[in-house]
Amino acid sequence: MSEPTTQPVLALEDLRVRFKTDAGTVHAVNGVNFHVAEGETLGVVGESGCGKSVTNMTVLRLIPTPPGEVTSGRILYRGQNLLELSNKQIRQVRGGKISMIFQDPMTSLNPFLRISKQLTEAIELHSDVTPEQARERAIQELERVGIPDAARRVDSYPHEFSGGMRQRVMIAMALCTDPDLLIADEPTTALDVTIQAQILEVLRRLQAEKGMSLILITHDLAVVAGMCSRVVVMYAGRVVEEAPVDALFEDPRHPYTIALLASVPRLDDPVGRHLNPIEGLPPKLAEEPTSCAFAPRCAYAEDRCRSELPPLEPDQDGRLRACFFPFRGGERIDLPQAGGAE
Amino acid sequence: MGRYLFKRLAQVPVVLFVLITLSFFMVRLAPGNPFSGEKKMDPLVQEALNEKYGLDASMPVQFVRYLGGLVTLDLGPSYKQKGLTVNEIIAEKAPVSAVLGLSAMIVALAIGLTAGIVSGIRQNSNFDYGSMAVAMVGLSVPTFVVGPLLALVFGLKFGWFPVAGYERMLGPIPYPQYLVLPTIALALPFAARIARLTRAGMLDVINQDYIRTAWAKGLRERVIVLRHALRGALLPVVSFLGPAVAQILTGSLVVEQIFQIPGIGYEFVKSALNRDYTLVLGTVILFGVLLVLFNLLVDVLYGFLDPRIRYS
Amino acid sequence: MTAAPITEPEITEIEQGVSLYADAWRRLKKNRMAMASVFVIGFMAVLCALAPLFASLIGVSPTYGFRWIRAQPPGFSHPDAPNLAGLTVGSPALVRDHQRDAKELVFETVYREVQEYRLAWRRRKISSLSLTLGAAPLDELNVEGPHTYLQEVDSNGQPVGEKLYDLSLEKKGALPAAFGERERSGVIVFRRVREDPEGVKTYTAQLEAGRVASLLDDGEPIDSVEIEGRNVKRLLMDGAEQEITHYLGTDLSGRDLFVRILYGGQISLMVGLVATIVSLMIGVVYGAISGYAGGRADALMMAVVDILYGIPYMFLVILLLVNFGRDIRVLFFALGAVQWLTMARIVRGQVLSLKQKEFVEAARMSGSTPASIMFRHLIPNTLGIVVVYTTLTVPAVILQESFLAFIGLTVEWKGESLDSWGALVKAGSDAGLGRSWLLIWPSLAMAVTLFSMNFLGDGLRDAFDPQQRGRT
Repeated sequence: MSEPTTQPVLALEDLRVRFKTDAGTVHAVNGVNFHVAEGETLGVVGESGCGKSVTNMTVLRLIPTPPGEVTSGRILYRGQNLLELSNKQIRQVRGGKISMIFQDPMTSLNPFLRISKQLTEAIELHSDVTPEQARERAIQELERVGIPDAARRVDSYPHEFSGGMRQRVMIAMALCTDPDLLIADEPTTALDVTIQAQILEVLRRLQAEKGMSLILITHDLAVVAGMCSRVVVMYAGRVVEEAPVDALFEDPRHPYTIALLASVPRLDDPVGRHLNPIEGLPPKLAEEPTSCAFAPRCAYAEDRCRSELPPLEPDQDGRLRACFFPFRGGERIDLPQAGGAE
Repeated sequence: MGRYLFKRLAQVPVVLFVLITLSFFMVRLAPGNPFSGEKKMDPLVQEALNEKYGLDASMPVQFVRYLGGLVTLDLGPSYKQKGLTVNEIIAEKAPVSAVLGLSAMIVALAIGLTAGIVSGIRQNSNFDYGSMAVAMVGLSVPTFVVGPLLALVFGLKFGWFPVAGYERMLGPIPYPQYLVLPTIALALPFAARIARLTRAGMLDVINQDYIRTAWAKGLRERVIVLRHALRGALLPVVSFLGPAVAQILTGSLVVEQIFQIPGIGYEFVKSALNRDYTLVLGTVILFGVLLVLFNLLVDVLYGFLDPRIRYS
Repeated sequence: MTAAPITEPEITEIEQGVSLYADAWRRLKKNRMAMASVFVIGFMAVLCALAPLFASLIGVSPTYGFRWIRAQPPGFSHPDAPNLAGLTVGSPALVRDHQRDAKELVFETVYREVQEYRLAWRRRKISSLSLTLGAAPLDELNVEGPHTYLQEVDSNGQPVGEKLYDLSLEKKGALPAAFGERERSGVIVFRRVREDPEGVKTYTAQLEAGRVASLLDDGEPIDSVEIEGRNVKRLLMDGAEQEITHYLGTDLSGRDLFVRILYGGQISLMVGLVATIVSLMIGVVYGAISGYAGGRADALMMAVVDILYGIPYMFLVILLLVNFGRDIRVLFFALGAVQWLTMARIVRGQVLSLKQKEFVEAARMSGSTPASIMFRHLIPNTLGIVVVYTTLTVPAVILQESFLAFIGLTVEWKGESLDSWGALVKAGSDAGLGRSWLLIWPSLAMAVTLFSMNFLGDGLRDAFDPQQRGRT
């Protein structure tokens, strides 16, 4: 069901990334598979440190190496493995075909350079324009993301903008080269709630206008619900569940997804209801997991969960989850055999 | 920025006044008299000299007179070099020191910045370890050790450069070979400091989010380093330039002595040991003014580099 | 709903709930270069502290030099007597400090061309003096007895011929002409009577019954025994051979360079330490008061610091030393006065931020006086940064003192000049290529020490403040 009918814009296959530092090795990404279709918005959710940011940074090879190292897998952009590109080729993809925006707009813009410079350098790099044209383009983009008086403010420095405005500038900067895919890494986390909504609105509008794909990395399930068509849930460097957004919220299959949903406070909760945090701590990932990484925190874990690694595989109805004993419709079902649905 | 600069500007006269007062009284309240040297002097001659140089007046009067002279940029006559005024001596010697100081500064900046930038972006590489070890040596081995060692090895042993001396080519500028060893001796600790500061600044900056943004745009490393990282990395270096000038001024005292360079630093040491009071005072004031000016320049430069300061 | 829905305690903080200092110490221990620096500094400090011991072990004095062993290269050794190859007739042989209590002291001299030997002593505590030719002592010259005589012996130690001289102090007038040139000194003059077949004769002068002499200082009338001869081949004390090796050579006045470096190190390290402590006390108190007071007082106090910062301090220190004497106390004050500014700034910054912390508020609420808050709560908490900065100040001060010594402003104590490393480097830099060891060794001692101190300071800063790695 989730098999793409046409070639996806981006497909990750068995991606593994580890970091070797003095303090020891951390296996941050341990075999991640997902894809983004043309024009689609994919949400990637999970706790801090679950590998969602590392995964997406790896797409553009922005992981510092060393200490980072991709140990296996492929990152296919329109069928082309980005991991095999030369430095020069990957530079053309970065900011050109695939753009990124980051969590903290306060620190993600260079405080020493005018906004105009920061925008035009990207435009001039990825398209054949004169400096004047690039500047025109920059002003247009700033207008599109809703910066008032863009023609004048284009020559401002970042510190003259508020946080929300800076994130708009970041979006303009990412989109001024008309990329196919935008990876937005927690784009609203550092912002006030009211500003968040505006930024998401800008993202949604521009995605529709430009027809690009969007990967939205977040730990905020509300954002996912509002923005995404499909969701990938990550835990301990692996995808534990992947589903269309409505299906995920209505009928979560993986116990981690269930716990994640349950831990979110809701407006219609009765006053005085306790939050339901997930007990325990995420694993440290000094080793690649050989059993279910969530098992120590999972209320339903069985012996098998502690000895075998559950693969990400489809349920009978095609829903992807990495669990030996997944839920369905709120009921727990036992699978007859390991990997029986292959 | 304007207010900040104004505040610093307002400090200048205070700094200079404190300096002049301190050094004036330090010199004048010392026991003895510039003319009561080793030889016993005829009291009449002594008196005549005192009168001629105004030493017969009370201390506050002398001080006010001296300040009056300063206002008209008159530093008075030298007590020991008969027939010369302090202004003349400074005009003769200071340009030589300026040539030496400037060349040391240029060399130090060139070496320090290059080594610091490369070490910063290639952290933990062999180049990084090597240049930081050299920098640590440069910081720990003082100018007055490096100078004689350079003279010993490259002057005496190999004979590549003159051991000492200063043969003028054009005005205060000497033939280059006379400048090589003193420049290196003077520049080394300074270059070491700049290299360390630049490296630290670089490391700090390249881990900033906005550098990641620059990478994500697809820029080349060279562009990222030069356009995006360098400015931020240079801020600590710029604030070091003020103290660096003080350091170069003091360094020139020994370097000029070691290499027998007829500059104002050597002149200061000689006049201090000779108790040529007016010359000592004049030189200290000159150094003070230089230092103050450089500190101001640094403030301006800082604001120029960092828009957050410029516009606040 | 926007907040991160999942509780995520920081595991590292829970596990490492140790104090700042224990944590810093752990980080420092991991820094091998810094730990090596600790050892180097400790080693250097112990070496310098033990300078008198080394001086007496080697058998040299740090202050008195000998003309005849001037500027000898490293490794140079000679019998523990001054009459060396190349020595001219008439130079005195000295009995050194450590030899004065020897039961038996034997100079073995060799001569070839010289016809006349003189043995002289300054009489103060000499009770007896005997001379032998060859290896064994034979006849005794009893100074205090009625007769003192000189006897030549053959290579087997057997007396040859007649006694050459009969002498005693009472009979001063009867001595040869050279005798009595100096007050209270006796001279024995003896002539070579016969040559052995090889044309070489060995005379041995032997002193017995101890307390013979101390060091000779440019003809000062101190106890000494002199052999005037061409060559002292060796010196035996209580039967053991005495030899002095100058491992790092000797300086231009004939003083042992190694011992001089150790004594110079004492001066340098002491100046560094004391001036740093002076700056520490001024700076910490000033900075703490400024930071604690805050507001206008703070602004004023920091403006004063700013203004003082703008002054080229080294020049004022030079003026101070030139005009008010180079007494070491003046130097401590002068260098301390330079260094306290930075300390004050750093402490002020720390106090300013600490002041906001809850525990200070709590102390204030519970009625602590400002003084007790400052000394019980604020200053102790700035200790880490103060330690770091202190470690970096000591080498800076050492450098400054040496700089002053280099330009000729050696410090003095009770009118005696104290040669620090800077003074030694200066002497070495004036000595020239042929005597490069005089420059190289003091420079090396100084550089290694300063290098280690800087490294340790760096390491400490990294340990206390990992954020600041590699600054300055």
